[in-house]
Amino acid sequence: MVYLARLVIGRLGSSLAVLLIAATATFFGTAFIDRRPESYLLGPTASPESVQLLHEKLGLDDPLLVQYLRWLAGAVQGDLGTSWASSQAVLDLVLSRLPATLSIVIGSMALAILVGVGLGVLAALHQSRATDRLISTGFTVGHSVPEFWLGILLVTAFALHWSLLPATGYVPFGESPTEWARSLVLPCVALALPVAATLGRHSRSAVVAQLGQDYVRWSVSTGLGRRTIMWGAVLKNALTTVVAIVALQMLAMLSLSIVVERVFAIQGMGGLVLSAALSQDIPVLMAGVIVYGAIVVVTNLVADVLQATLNPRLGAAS
Amino acid sequence: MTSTSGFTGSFLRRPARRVALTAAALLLASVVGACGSGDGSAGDDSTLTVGFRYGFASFDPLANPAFTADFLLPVYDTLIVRKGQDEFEPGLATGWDYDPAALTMTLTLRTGVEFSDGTPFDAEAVKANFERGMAEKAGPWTSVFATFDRVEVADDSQVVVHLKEPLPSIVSDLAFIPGMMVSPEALQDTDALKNEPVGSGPWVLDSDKVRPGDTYPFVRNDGYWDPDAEVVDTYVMKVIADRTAAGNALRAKQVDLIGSDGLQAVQLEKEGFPIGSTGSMVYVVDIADRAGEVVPALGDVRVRRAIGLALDRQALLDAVFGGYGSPSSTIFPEGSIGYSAEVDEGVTYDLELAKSLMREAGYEKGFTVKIFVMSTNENIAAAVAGSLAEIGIELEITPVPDAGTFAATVADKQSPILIVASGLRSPWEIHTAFGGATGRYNPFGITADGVDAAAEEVMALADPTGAEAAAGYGDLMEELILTNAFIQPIFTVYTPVAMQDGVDPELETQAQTLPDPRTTTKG
Repeated sequence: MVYLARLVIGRLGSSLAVLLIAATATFFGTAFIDRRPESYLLGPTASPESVQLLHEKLGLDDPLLVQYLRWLAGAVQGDLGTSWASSQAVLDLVLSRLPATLSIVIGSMALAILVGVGLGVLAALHQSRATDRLISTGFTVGHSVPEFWLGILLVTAFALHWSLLPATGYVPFGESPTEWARSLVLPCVALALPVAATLGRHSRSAVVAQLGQDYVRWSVSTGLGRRTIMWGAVLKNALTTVVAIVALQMLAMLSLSIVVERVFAIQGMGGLVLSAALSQDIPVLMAGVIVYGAIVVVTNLVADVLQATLNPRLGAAS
Repeated sequence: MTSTSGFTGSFLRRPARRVALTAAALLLASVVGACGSGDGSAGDDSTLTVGFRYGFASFDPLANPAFTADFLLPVYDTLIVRKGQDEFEPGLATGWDYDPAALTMTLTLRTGVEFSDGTPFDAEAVKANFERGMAEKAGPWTSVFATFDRVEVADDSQVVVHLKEPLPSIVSDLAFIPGMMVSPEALQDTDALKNEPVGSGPWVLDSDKVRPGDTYPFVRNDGYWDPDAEVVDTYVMKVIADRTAAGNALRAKQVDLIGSDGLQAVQLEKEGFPIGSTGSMVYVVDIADRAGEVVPALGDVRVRRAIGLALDRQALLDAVFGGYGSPSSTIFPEGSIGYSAEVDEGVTYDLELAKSLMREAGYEKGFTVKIFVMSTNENIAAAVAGSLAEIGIELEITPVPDAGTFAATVADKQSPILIVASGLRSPWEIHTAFGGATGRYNPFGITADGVDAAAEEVMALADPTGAEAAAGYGDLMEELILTNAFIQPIFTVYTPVAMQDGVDPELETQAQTLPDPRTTTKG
């Protein structure tokens, strides 16, 4: 357990460094944009004087380094600043949008793991048989369907044709757990399918690779129970690889969630960050980078811990 | 040798599989079985739910740009109420007068009105609102309040606005966000105002049920001053940015009404949804490089006029917006302030005349112009490029994704021709943006004596909404569009609204994008 604790502490340190680098790169990256938030905030009839006042109010006339240090000083104290577009505290905006995005992304990932890994293992166990071919074809199809198109198909079938689930919107858990679950079904399925297909393919390959190992044949010949061999060795070893893929897919899922949020009219982080980018709302954009970065960092940390638990040699090595 | 396939067969053949499948089926049934218990907006006559395209952040009126005004309308009354293009009716002000020099405006106020926090609406309240606007350093409406010199309370029901210079758009402004009255008590804490609006409108925000950035429910204000107002009990605004999602929300009866666009409206109409149209956007080809600084040909008025004559406005409107709009070179329809018969007759689709003007100017072989457009206007820009190719003008279009970057390309004179959509509603605003020396859409800063003279005449008018004004603004538009051909309006596009059967909005009112909830009935 000591190496696990050491691993977590070490990773936390490097994660903070990664977040800082990402935030810094984003901030200075925005320097390449000619910042003119007035086009969004003041409209076409704004006078040059009011444009100038706005720039002063937002501190845009200060050197970039000063602006950056001001932002950083606030951020380390938990103050992410005020949105240029809405004049609201960025932290409040993020907190109001994060639950929807986390619900979708975590729900989709859980579904993708359940379906993808489950079917991948099933295909591997029926290698080269009809079941395997059917599931593998399913993976190829699932991988090819764009999630926005799938989302529209799902809405058409389950919301418009059969009226089983809501077509759009997100209901907070605290308001109604049942409605919360209902509002998540279609977005989660749309987002999970391509990821499930990827996880399925990798799971199948990983299990097939393990099943071909000498230790499996040896274990069977010694009379060890099949379940013991599967759970005790094959799946455990195969999952070490799959966990790494899950962490990578989390990143893809965060990007895809922006599209899914739009298709299902869910006001999550995706829409917030996208509109911040389009309206040059730099404080909100920066917060988006931190939040997405933090999700990726936490996912990687969990993946590292899981891998180290599944295969202690990896933990010891790191 | 032991085969691994024999090993695999029994995995999962266990009662556990049945238990798992049963549990999954039960979970799915409980989720799906709850269908119909959602917010169930459509179908309930006392609730009107509308889908709105733009996000929203603050109930402080002065923090809002024009396109989010729809969120403010349920809770705030305006001093003056706009009906149609240039008809104005009493709102919180029952009357308004100007002095002959148009430097003071006297507003007579409605009595017996209270804000939803119980504060009385009176001249002091108007003064507090105006002075707050004047104190704003930067915001979407500072240019309006910058012309206010001081505000004087004559008595409880009369307030006098002293202007630094005539403001021809003042009536139009007071019928919009600058004229929305907030309780003076609430103005003491503008941070709280962002989330807790206090107005005198027919509804109050049901703060407990707000989902920030997503859903805003308004419940009837029992103390509303107009007992004859027939409004729904609950008005709900839902943010749905994506058109397809909005269409699906309408089809699934999650909303009663959505703002749409021409091509989607054509489809929804086929599916049987009633379609209406409300607020409008003017699409304009703005010849920014009027002196030919970057593209010398554009300095020649004959070339600029040829551009206007080469635009087949009806065909462009059909192709890009499914015909939802009004092809017009005049912006303002006949009978309204700003209409010019000379422009209407002089700037029509006439390819032969356009070609001969190009020949006359020595540009028979045409020329190329590199322009930037907002990606949202890429379709219309491509269609305009097709029209201009007929007279040899080749537009090389680079779309940019956001308003800020586009504004930068405009300000840096990178687009000798601008193709823009504008929600500006009065001829004075059109002049300020396109014709004024510091106008946002006049980056080269070029004006003409005729334009300036017409603008000065308009400013000298005592009543910016009267008959004299109609002629004055007509002259101003003639100078801009025909004589100097600085701008070539293409068409005015209505915002189509699609709705459920039984929803009956009064269209063409003061609302920007959606019909005014005060004049929309259901059932």
